[in-house]
Amino acid sequence: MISQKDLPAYNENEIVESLKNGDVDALKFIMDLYQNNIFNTAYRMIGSYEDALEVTQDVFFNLFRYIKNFRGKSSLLTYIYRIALNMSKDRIKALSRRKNRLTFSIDEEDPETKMKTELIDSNPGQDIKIQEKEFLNTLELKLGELSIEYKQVIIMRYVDELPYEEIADILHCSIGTVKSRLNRARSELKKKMRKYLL
Amino acid sequence: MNCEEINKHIGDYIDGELPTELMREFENHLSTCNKCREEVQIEKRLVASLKKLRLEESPETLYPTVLEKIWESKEKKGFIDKIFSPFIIRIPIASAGLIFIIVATILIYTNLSKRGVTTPTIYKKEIPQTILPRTESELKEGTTIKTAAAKEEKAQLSSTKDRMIMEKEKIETKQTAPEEQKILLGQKGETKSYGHYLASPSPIDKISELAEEKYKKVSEDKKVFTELDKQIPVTRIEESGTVRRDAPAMPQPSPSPNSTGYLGDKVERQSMYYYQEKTPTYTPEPVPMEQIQKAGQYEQMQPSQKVGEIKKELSISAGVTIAPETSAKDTGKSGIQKAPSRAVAMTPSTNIAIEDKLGVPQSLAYELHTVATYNEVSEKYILISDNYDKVIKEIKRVLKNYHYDYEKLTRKTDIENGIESIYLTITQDEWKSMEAELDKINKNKEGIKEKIAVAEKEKDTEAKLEATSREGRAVLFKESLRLPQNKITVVIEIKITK
Repeated sequence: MISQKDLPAYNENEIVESLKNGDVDALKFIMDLYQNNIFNTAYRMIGSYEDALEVTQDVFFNLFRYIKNFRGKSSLLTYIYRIALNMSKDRIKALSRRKNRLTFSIDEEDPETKMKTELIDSNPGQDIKIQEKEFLNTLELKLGELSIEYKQVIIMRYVDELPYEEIADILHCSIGTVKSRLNRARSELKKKMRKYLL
Repeated sequence: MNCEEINKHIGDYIDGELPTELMREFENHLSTCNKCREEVQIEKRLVASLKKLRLEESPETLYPTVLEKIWESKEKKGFIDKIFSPFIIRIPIASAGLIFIIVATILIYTNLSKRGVTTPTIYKKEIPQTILPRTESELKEGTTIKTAAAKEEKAQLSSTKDRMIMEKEKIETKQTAPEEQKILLGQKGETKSYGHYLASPSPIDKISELAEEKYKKVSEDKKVFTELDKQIPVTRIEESGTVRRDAPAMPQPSPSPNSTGYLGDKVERQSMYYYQEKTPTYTPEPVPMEQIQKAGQYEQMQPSQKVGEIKKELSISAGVTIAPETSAKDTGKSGIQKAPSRAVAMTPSTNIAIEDKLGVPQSLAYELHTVATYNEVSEKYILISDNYDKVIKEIKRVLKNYHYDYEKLTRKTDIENGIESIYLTITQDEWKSMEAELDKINKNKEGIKEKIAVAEKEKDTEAKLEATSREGRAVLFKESLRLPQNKITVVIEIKITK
């Protein structure tokens, strides 16, 4: 998987222009670059694999559909992230309206967990791996319990590894605000995870 | 540095972004303060664990699904909406525009007809009598004809859809070259420009080349269709209403007395509409109306059929969707229509972009509509094949997936407009049971993918088709898609009552 740091350079204006002209090749290019990041963000925000998948599809669909509204004041990545965050928030609200659980429990079997289980089962040193899996599940659970504001900043910084400048741009705030919010979010998560981290 | 300051800079410390001086102070404090050291350790572990939460890959079906969405959204967006969407005052401008278009069309048509100017023409083969309605009782309500202006848009949409189908197919067949993909994405630490990406050969082109090579060997099917092309005379119907024949009428195949007229019958095979857009290779000279009348074919038509022919042609050029309303009265049961003993028929399709893209100007393209009562939900399947029997088999298979009998397909004929369509009605309960079935299928997708993989490995096309259609998605004749020769395309549109 390409991490944020490894993303290749490209001519953003050219890509945006192609997208505006309805070029699906340009969309594929952008999706190849960012779909994993967006999917990750959506998944961690929403906590449901299927919903995250739908949101990711909608993000790129809307990007393509409304690219004409993109005026180039921010980077394309920022624009895509904004769409993704907004859509994830909308989905969370919609889910909570349906009184669904936003976070998933350790017992819940989602495709990814299932996949992990299968992988673990076929490997030696099972005990350690199972412990790690349980720990990560707990971390997911506790991350899901955070407020949207905290959750998104943690995901962008530590899961997606976006630079502070990008996060500040996405959230329309200063780098200082991002850092202090991240500190608060981390402290809160640390409180919830303390007994597992000792 | 005290504990409070440590807490303030802990984030930058973990990120390694503390200035050197502060870093030294920070570490000095840690070496003396156990509490702070523990906090930093915990935070480090926390951040390291968070990084592990990153999923490795997003599903590879994302891109084709997005393409599908784009296509669907464009298809839904009406032509009028598209024209007037930038304006705030929609209704007055739209109304004015409509009036202008109607008036202008009438004026242009009148003038051109008087001067004998040939308007843009669509060429099509003879529509034999066997497919035309037999009785006046079949004249029913509910035909909609869109404006001719939708044609161009439809072609564009077909192109997007075409691409979508290709992408889906690519994923199914796993034939994309991994090396090329890597180049497109750029190697680690290597800069690749978008220009380079665009210049890279398209994997789709590669597939087409492979397909062409593969099917150069398939010559028998070609012969069948070439012969068929020769047999059916070409008639040109202009939008102005003039019917022109470009070749002497060939004797029509008389329907077999035993023929039920159902799809699959050889008589029906020959009587299906042949439809093609204007080809660059064949532009026949107009033939005077009198000559056609002498030929007798047109004279034999009933007056209503003559009108129907013209309207039909217009509707074809508009990419019309026929959606006759069904009536519960027909059977007495709610929403379910009694299956008549008459034949199902095909309406010509404008969805020929796939063949065009593959360089098949002489393609056969058919659209089979199945329409239900309320027109709220629709499922669309595209079948492409060089073998008619295969198409029928596949229609049956698709319907079976919907727990619906092929025999329940009903036919509605609109004599006045000369349009026949296939439709089937499904009640809400039936639809629910289908949805439940599809849900079950979706949950078992992994198993299906395995089946597809096995079928591919064993080159078992039938098994693969079965597995693919179980997914409840577009059913593709993978092999046929690549055939650079004449194809039959059938679009089954199933609209579900709600």
